[in-house]
Amino acid sequence: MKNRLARRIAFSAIMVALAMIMSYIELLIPFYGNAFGIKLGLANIIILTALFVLNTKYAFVISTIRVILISILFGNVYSFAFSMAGAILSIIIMSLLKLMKSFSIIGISIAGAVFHNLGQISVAVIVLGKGMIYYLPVLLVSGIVTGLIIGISGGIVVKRTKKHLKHMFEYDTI
Amino acid sequence: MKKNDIILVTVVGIIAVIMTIIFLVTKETGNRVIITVDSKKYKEVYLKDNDEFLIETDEGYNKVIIKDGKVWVEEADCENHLCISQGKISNSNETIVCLPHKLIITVE
Repeated sequence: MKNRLARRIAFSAIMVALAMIMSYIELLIPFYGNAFGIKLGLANIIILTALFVLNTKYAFVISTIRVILISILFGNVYSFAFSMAGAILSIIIMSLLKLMKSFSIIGISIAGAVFHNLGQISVAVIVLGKGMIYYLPVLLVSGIVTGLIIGISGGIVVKRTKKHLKHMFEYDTI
Repeated sequence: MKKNDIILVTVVGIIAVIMTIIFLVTKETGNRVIITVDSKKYKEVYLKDNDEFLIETDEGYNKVIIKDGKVWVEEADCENHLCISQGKISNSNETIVCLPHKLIITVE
């Protein structure tokens, strides 16, 4: 039993590191004409994989720790607030939708992306004022698009890694 | 893809479209430029007065120009210059935001 827990913890740590690397890779992709600060959210491929191959608890912890570490290393208090709000809202919604079993990984990813943006814009309105609300339509649409891309990618990753990780984690349980 | 996915995308899409329509319909050419820094009103000027000023915050500066009924950020020392690429605004539901400097420029 102890051995299993140790393996899970070590694996989760690897997931966190992978998520951080994905965030970094994202910065290398130029997105010209981006006046809205929209990101692709590549790290969410890892979070999605964690959600579908591991279980919800681990996905939540992996996502949260990733946000904390990235904010400590590369961010400030404000980026922490934005990221945390988005990430927590996103993982909660994704977990709920996954429980309902009537959405595919793509739908869950889209919902995750949309709610991630909603979480961030809520903090933006609190911190910066109601002028931020004009960004909502853009963020909703970009949530759909990025959610779709990440969802398709995540689906591929999940399909290929699920059978190898079966022995380490129970999935489809909360 | 399952059926509920399509429903989700459609609902979100419709909400986005409705909001855009609302913003377009309530859009008015503004006459006042309102600048807030850190959620507090910093400056309010008239859009028709050509003007040029520097907004200096703890985090840096933004050079704002008002000319020909439009306002925009000409220069800034923030990392990503998103505020500059947001262009020129003149209508009531357009905004320019400089996140690192906590700056919002709106028109009313």
